[in-house]
Amino acid sequence: MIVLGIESSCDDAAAAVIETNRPGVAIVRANAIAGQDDIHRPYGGVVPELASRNHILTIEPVVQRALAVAGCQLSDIDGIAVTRGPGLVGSLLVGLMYAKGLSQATGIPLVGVNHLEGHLLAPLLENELTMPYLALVVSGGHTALFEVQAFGRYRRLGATRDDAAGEAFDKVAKLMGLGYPGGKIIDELARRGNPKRIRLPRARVKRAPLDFSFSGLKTAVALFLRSEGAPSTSESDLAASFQEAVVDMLVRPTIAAARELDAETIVLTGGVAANSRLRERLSAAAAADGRRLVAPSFKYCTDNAAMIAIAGSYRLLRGEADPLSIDAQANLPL
Amino acid sequence: METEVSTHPNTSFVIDSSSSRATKMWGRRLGSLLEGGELLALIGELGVGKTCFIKGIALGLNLREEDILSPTFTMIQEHRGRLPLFHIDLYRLDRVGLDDLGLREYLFSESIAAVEWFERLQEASAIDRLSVKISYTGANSRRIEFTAVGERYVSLLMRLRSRSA
Repeated sequence: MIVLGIESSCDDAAAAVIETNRPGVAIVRANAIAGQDDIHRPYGGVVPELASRNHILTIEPVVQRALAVAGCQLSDIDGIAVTRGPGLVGSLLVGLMYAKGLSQATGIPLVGVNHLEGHLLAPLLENELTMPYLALVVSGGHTALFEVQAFGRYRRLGATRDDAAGEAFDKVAKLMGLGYPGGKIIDELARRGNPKRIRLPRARVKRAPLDFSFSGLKTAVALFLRSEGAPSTSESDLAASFQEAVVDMLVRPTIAAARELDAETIVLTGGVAANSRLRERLSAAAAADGRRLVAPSFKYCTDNAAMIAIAGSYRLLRGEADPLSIDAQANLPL
Repeated sequence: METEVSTHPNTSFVIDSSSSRATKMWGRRLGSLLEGGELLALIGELGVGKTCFIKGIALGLNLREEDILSPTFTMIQEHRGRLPLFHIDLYRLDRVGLDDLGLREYLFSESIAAVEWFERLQEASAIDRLSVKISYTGANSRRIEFTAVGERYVSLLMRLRSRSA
């Protein structure tokens, strides 16, 4: 079966073509993406209205590009999988409406996919994994732990109570005057810094050991920058100390959850999965416990349509389809 | 827990909060007084406690505080409590106009709009609102300054003060 995936939940319009005959096993034939970094950079972040307007211009070309790279015609496609939430509602609508139009015009069955389900199943694009497995999704918009029990069965074990981890990186970078996006800049600075130089708090959520909270850490950095010790502290030491605190706060609940589930495999996914210290520490912590860490390649960690295609294809393979009345939902629950 | 340190008759009211808990409680007091259609402008540096205060407002609207997450990524989060609450965050915009992003329909509705980084709105000074300005006074302590702009907010401020007396 050949599946076309379409994703437009935030600032990237993406289309992918995968070939799959068994749930969770796929060959990616094309993975195209039309990013908008240049459009949003002057604003220091994604502006929803601009993102959706630009998606209208790029959605058709990006789908055509994916089909061309895959060497396919529309008539070769057996099913369409499209993100219907969560995300920015205006952005979601563009991809969803385009997909519905394609389905209506061609009769190709369509399924709506939860963006988070895409992240949870992304490692299957490159690895054979046995379910259940544990997944930590960390990005600019999400920080959550899920047990992936089976296709379509996901249990949320914990999530952030305030800021997403990626947001904490961006905001602390801004506090430090480092620019945008903050994750990459802090990661690079931190390599030269001493992570024990500044003592920063590691928040725990009362009675919810698998939840996360990053706003107190952000406040602690803001307070430190106002303190007498700030001028004599190097940027790299502060970046390293902050990053270490974030990594500690991500690793501890993840390992606790892995023990609770006795999970053999831990999946690390989402844009923040690119952070080198997080990969290193979580991988070591998993190994020390006799578990294995799997992180998708960067192109499948960040938003992409191949993960949406694989997340939709297990339903398409069963012969399921959604009615064309499905709508976009900004807060779609998994 | 907190003391009133100074007042500016009718339009302004300052309190010192000794903890995030006290900050949240002030949010809750304010939330419980809301009737629909109010615009609350949250002003203060990163990490000072704006979202914490809004968690309090949510409690006063019979919402669960854990449902209030940072809206920085999505910019607008909608919640259904005793009254609908739009939690808006303009942090990622350096300067934004009311008509740029369809903000007008969120800010002037029958719902509550709680707007973080309100000062980034070009028209900010011309809009009636209750401003909640939070500033650092120590590691855990904060000064919260409530300022009413417009008649309905003067009356809201008076009710908030009498509630605290």
